[in-house]
Amino acid sequence: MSLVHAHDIRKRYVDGPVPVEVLRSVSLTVEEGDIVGICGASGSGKSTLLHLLGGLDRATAGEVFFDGLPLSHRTDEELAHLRNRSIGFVFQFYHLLTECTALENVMLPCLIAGVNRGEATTRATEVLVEMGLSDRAGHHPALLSGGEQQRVAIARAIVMRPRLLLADEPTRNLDRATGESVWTLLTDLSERHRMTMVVVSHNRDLLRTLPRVLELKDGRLDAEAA
Amino acid sequence: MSSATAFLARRLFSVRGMRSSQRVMFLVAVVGMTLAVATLFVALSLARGFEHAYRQSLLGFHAHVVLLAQGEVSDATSMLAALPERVHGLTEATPFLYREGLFIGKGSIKGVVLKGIDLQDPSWRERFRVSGNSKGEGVILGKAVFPGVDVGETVKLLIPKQHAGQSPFLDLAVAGTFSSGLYDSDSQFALIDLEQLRKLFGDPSDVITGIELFLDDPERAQSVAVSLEEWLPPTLRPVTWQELNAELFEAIRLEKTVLAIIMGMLVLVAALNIIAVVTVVIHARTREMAILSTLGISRRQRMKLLMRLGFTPGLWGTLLGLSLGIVVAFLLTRTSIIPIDPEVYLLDRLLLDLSPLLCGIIGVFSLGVTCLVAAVASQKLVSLPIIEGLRQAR
Ligand SMILES: Nc1ncnc2c1ncn2[C@@H]1O[C@H](COP(=O)(O)OP(=O)(O)OP(=O)(O)O)[C@@H](O)[C@H]1O
Ligand SMILES: [Mg+2]
Repeated sequence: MSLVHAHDIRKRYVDGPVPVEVLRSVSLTVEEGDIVGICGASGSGKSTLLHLLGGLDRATAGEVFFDGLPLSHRTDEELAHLRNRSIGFVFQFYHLLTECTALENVMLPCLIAGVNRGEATTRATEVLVEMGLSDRAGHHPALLSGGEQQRVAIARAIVMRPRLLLADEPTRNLDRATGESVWTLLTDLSERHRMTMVVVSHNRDLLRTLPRVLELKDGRLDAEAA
Repeated sequence: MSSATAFLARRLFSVRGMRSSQRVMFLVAVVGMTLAVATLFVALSLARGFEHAYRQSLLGFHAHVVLLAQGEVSDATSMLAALPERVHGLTEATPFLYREGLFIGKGSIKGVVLKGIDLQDPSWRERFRVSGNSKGEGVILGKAVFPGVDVGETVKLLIPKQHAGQSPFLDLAVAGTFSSGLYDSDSQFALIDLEQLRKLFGDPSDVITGIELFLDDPERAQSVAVSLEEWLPPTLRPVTWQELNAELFEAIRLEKTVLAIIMGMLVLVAALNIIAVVTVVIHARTREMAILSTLGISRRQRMKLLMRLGFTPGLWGTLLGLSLGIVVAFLLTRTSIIPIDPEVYLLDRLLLDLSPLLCGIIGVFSLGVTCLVAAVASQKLVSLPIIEGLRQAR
């Protein structure tokens, strides 16, 4: 069974001056352990699609299935639980809590899951070590470089060992070399932990390393025209 | 579960981490709660103090149970002898006689109730705080009948009903003054020896208005009255101090209730500031709340987080308010910053009853109101838009 399956989803924003039909008919199947790249012009709806796949937002029509179960039937509380245990997000702007140290940021998903402080510290430390950030654990995000912040964000995304990792332009804010190392880190992690990943990127060079890349265009998702 | 919300509240909603405008709002909420709680506490302490003082003074001057004579009481003496056996906890039983008269003295005329009692009994001196020599013939005036009257002076008593040929005016020596603590009693009563009073008014030697009973525990008045009812002859009817002063205590009770309601509203209004604090602080944290949502924070956890945010100023306000209230009440009792007019308030000093129970009740009430307001605010604000929050988060 596929881990993620989107069936003919549509997304319309009606809160602006004119309604915007961002996704017209998007269908997507991602098997467990797959890495799928998504590209597309700015404003084509890539972030919107990731939000829908991760249950952060609800589709106007169509259905997203996670592990065979439709998301639209789940309550907000169940979606929150799903995000906490089974889905990790990585964003372009890292989205770390500036008031918390790197270690505390990574501990957050564990604390939210109800894991006690001690256990959360152990798990977060382990993941930070895996990310090569053991000496940055006590630093606040403001003291970290962009690459380091993104690695903390990745650590936070995977600390609960989610089944699905959704990455929205994870390298866009980074210089070329750093971006490449973060990309490699992500794909290695995914392969090592057999973690399914959907990654959005503009960077064709990086996307080329992936076995499967789809392009979002005019509200539809197609195999990339190489 | 609570460890996540406690941790996040400390990181995201600490007063130190707030922007100055938020800190001002927080401060306003705390100060508002403090003042409201302090006012509530002082006001209720004052009301309780008055009630307590009235009671003390009333129970000092007036009996706990009065056996009112309805017509002739022939066997009063034998009854008095039997009372200690019948009434458990009886400290005193005295026959008394009320007569009205006009006193002229110090250039003024006063209508006064003459209370005839056995003045030989030394316990009266203490009970009525009598100053001066009460031995011998004479009258003991309430200290407010003729303010400034000296012991040994004579005052004239105008008796409405007299024997033929007798002058309506009698000269009476002032043997002392008494102070009951109640302005009403001090300005309207004069004590005089029972026998002398009967002679002055030409009453037969066994006439009484009733018998006053004092108990070791005034609260037992009601049960004593009930137990005496059957035993007493029909000419004597037991009346308790609560019945005698029912109107006064009802008025005080009403005053206390109204005061509690109005001051309670004050606390509620002050607590409404909490809504502003929660709203402003949480809107400044849309980004963080959105990020936490991507990490899977549940609605229940967000609710707890907001409740904590709203509860903090209420908790501070309550604690500071109670402390301030205690200090103010203490100062008011110890110093006479606020002088009060005894003619208006019946009492001549400000009295506050500082009770830990009252403190507890107000604390619980204030925190309850805080919880309620914080819950309403949290309920309104708990669902923040995640996607918009993420857009802000750049
Ligand atoms: N809440 C909203 N209300 C109205 N329009 C919206 C809303 N959110 C997004 N949009 C519109 O939907 C479109 C797709 O947005 P989205 O962020 O998904 O694009 P994107 O492909 O991720 O772009 P980029 O590469 O710049 O990140 C945009 O045109 C945007 O203006
Ligand atoms: Mg985007």
